Amino acid sequence: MEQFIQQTINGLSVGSVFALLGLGVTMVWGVLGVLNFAHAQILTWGAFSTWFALDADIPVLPAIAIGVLVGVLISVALNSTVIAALRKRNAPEFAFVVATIGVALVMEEVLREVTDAETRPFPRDGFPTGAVTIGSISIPGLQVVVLIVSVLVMIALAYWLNRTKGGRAVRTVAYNRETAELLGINSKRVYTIAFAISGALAAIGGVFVSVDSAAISYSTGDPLLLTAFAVMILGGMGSPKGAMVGGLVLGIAQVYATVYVSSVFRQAVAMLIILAVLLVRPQGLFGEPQSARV
Amino acid sequence: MLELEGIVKTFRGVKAIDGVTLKVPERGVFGLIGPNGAGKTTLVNLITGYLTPDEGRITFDGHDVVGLAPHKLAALGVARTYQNLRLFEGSTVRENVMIGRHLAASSGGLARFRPRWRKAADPVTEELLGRLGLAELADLQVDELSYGLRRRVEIARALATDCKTLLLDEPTAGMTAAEADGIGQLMRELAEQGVTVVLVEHNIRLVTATCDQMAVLDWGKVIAQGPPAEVWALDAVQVAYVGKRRDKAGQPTTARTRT
Amino acid sequence: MSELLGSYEFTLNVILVQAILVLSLYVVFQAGLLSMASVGFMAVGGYATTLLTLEQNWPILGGVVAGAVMGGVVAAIFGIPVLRLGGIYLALGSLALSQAIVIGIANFEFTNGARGFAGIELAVTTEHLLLVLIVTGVILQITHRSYIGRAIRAIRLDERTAEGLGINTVLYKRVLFAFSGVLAGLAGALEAHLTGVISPDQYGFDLLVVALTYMIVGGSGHWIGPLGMTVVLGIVRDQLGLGGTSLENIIFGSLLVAVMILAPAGISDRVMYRDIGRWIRRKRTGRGVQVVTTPQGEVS
Repeated sequence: MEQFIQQTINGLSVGSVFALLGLGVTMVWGVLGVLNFAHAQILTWGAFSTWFALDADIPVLPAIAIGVLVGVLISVALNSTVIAALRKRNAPEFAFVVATIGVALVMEEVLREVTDAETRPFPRDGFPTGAVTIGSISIPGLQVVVLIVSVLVMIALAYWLNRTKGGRAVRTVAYNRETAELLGINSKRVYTIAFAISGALAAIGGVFVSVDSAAISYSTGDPLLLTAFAVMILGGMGSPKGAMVGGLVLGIAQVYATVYVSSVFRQAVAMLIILAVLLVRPQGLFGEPQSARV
Repeated sequence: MLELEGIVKTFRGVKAIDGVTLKVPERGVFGLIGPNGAGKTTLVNLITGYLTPDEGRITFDGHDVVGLAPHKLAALGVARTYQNLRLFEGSTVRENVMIGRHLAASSGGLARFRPRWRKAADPVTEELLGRLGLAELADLQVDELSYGLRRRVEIARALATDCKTLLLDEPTAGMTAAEADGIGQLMRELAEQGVTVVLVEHNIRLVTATCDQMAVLDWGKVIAQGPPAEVWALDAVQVAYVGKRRDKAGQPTTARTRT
Repeated sequence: MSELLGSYEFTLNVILVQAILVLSLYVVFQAGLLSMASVGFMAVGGYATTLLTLEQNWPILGGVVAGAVMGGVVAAIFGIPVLRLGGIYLALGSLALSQAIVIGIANFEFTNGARGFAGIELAVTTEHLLLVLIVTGVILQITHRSYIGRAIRAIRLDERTAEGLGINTVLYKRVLFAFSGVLAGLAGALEAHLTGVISPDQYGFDLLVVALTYMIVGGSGHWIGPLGMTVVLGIVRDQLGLGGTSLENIIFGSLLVAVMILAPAGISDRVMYRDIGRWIRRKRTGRGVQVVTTPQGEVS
């Protein structure tokens, strides 16, 4: 029983990070309709920036802030260059996908060169270590902190989206850009904000992942791209609430599958979830069913 | 013969079609008019298989066709044009019309794969192009044409399917009066050749001049059906279209509010 | 052939195998579907022939045919649910399918897991590959010029309207998807008997990106585009001698981005040439595009 509770908490912790990743791609998808294949790279670059900062003896919190800043900057740059160019030319949907794949490839290779393809240990000093003991259950402190911080981030984002003017502007543009512009909302600025938030979430997620596995390399983000998409699809494309719930569900599912069935499933769970959801209920948990207009 | 019985279609709580029953007689031009939002295009979508009714029956020559996919309905001889004009962009006029020949081509034998070196290889296509005055424009890209001509291409394309029933959704929008009359003439010719033409239109003059029968749709209901002369005489139609009202004394007025 | 090409032969053969894979992607792309599943089907074909020839002593020809058939069967089965999706969902779903297949292969015992196999019989020559490509090209060309090709293009341009004109879009998509599976499986099987080894990490994202680049730059207009692009870029890649290095990948990634921005429909897109032609004409004569109307709007 204790193991079950421990694994559940583990799952929630892993899931909360997944939720952050899912939220990141959901922001860009919901607001711009773009499936950002470069998200995993932004994650990795953000995490690496934090690593460099820590390596330069900068304390933990500022180091994370630097990582977040890098994530934001790269994201925004991506939007104002490639994405904007494509939008201006009314490029077809697949062009955005393919272009972000290209960007991801470039980013990964540059990082690979810069880091000499080495996997480096990600320092845990300054992060909570040790375990929290409740009764007979021992939970790694790091997991608890990750869970708490992620949940706080999600709550803050939810609050911002629902209760502030800026957040509502973002939601309006996601709903219908033309209507939003008629209401006087500057959609270009909203796009920038959406990408910025996405980049920040990616970086935070990347840091957590790296701390948890105590390692980082240029390919850290790769398996997480499909995970992020799986979360978004499970939760319902374009639904932040869905991404949060979806992430937690996926995290728990992955942990249970790995522990109770087979470790093979660690990589496969995300894939299977994507397939299963798309086939059975394409709109996910909270999404809207698509309808075609003639 | 196209028949609709008790068709109901609801979108998110709004009854777009509220119990429509229609009998469209064969070989004639049947007009369908109604104010914007009355549900005309929805009805066309239901008939051509793009939407499925929540209740009711649709039959073609006795076959129950509810739930059939659009391509199956096309095989049964139903073709349509679209209110917002859907041509295949990036293609020529001839190419657009030739797509309409798909059904005919797919029932051919191995000969259909014989390489055809001349562009104008399909006689039916060429004849239709001629008939709709598009022969000289056949090699032009459709986005180089004026709106009225684009509409004609869409009609030619629909006719290319050898349809027995043709639904035209506001085909003369954007046409000059002369062009519209030309289309009206075409419809009468088609009717004489045995095609059932259903014309959804706002052009009252055209509808009155070309239709044998018509129906008036308002708020998803058929409020009148019959030959044009009878239909226009009805008060309900006048109210729906012109906005006439009766005041307390029973006299027509033009007071603004609708109930 | 070998005397002609010498040491170049192997490189060319690899390029030709890639060309078959690229055509597999093209087959569905011409209908407007971006499917990323071909790499997974390639793995199916490669492993099918490996297991049959190495462990069951099947003749090579049988193995290759089986590989192609298996690729087609897997595609046909998974195509039914996956093709219900459109656009982005299809891209994601097909990517997930492809990855699931490769991960499955990497984790099962009977496929030797991540270790793969070596010692597969070498039997594929340039002539074989050229034959396959020529036959495929002929099939594609005949289809392209026929009513089937027109239907496929119509599906890409406006699927709903195509439906209304009698085109069974669901059936077309399923058949094309299965055909793409056959081609991909064939590519995988041929590759196995070309290189003699097989392992799951051959079928990673890298391969997909390269194939996707060739196809997209080649365009959706005509199959010659992707085929030609594969051969040309493949040779260029080899000549540059950068194989597998970061610089090459950076160039590829940048090329993808540039092409998407400048010419998303690739180089075989007629519309682009027409637009360029118009632009040139306009610069020369100073006149804009003329909209055509007839004087009286007469309809006979």
